Amino acid sequence: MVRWGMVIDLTKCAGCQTCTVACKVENALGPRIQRVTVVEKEIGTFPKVTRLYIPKRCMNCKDPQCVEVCPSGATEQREDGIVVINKDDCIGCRYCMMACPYNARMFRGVERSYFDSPSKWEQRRYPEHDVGVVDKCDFCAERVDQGLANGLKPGDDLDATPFCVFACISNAMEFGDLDDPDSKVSQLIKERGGFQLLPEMETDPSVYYLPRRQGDDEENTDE
Amino acid sequence: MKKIPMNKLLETTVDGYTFQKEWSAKGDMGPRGLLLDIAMFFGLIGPGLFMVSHLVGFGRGMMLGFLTFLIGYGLPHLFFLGRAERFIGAMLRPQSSWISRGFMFANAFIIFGFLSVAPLLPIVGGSIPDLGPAIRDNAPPLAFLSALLVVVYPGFLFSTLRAISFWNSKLLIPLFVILSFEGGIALTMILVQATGETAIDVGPLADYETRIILGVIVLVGFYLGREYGRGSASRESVVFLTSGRFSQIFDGGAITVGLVLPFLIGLYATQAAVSPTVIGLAGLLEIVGIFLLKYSIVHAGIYKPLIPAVPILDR
Repeated sequence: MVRWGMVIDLTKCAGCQTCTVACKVENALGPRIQRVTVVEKEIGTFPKVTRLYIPKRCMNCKDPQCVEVCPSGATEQREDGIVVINKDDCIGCRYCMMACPYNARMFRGVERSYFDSPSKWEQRRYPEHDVGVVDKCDFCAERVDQGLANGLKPGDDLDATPFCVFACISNAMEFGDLDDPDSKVSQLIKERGGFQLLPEMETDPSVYYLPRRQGDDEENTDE
Repeated sequence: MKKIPMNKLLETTVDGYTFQKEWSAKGDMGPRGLLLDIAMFFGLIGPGLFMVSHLVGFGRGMMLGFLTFLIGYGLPHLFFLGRAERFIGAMLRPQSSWISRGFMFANAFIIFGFLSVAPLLPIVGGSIPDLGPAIRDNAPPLAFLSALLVVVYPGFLFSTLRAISFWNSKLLIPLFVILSFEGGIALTMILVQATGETAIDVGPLADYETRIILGVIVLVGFYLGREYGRGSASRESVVFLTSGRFSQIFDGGAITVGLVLPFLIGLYATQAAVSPTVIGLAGLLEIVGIFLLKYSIVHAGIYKPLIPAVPILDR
């Protein structure tokens, strides 16, 4: 069975927010709707200081609590592990948002444009969205499905890969099958000690992070 | 060259603490978020009034408890939903969702509660035919049971959420139930005195109420103490309530005005004669306190820090 997942290399992530913007363009997300955020934090004490960039999104967990708590069944998990929201069934109670340990869901209260009058792009794409419902990253499920239908391999073929991975300028993200031990994502997790966020929540996230290597902080840690 | 000590990194929180904002007036729905606070409040005191009135045989109290629930709990919930027209979808997953279960309990209370109080309702009461002894006798206990379930489920609704550790406590289940009975007794005493009902002796109710308030104080203290020692996010919630910018609402409102003051009045009333007005005032303070306590608990919901202990550097 396939289980789609993502690996993010904290060594390579430059915090450029390209993934954030790419996601907003690909999915036509308006103000306050951001499926990907890059968490920034300075760590250490001067002069031993470094800055971390950690792209955060829906983890499309293997054991998602959002699916469990959804009263209408709008949030469901596909066979390939991707957690999707059926916008036609969502009642907008936001219990799933409370249940998500990663705070990766957002409520689409009203559709806004960035400026007073919607741009042509906004006029064209915003009607696709439903309001009064919850929104989140689904690993560009439509893009993955379309790619597979065209005989492409997600992760290897960019047209079948989540748009943020496609757009990342530092190649910090990889996408692939976590259940395939020979896939690039599985290999990276194994070789580089990939870790999940908040493992104590027992949700088994499908997004792994590769730790920064010692040499990356050389400039900041020299005495 | 030295690596940043791992123990320092382990203490680092990367994105700090994030408050839940959707089940409050801070989210994308703006002031509409407050509707949920209102609904949760009436979802406790409405069934509480119904149950206490049922126990003491106070028909008008049952009716008001039912109407309070119907209007104060049902309508705000409906307006809070992002897609209210799909509200029926809220009951589709009772096998796993406490919202679905709660919705079913609420519906059961609405049905059995209506059958219990229908003859007393001012507008429709006279036009309702007698439904027979089977319904007349069984509807009130079934309504009582469903009202109890209505006040039990919010505790489960909150405590099953692992993401917000301050809520992830089974103590919320008895706390919400006891708050419901506290509110129910307070309202019953106020109504009995306001309507001049002579068949009900409020003396024993007042005794119970003082003990219940003491129980709430102990339970809240135990809950806060336990959460303070349970982890960084829970501790942050407790600090936010007790010494942060919210402390006026929690310490001053929910605890002092809503619990301590009515408790002291109740205690004094056991030793000396106290006018019904003062007892009524104490009851009103309790009602305000219940709202503020529930409001505080909901607003103090903080997500666990995303990355409290990340192996940021390779070993």
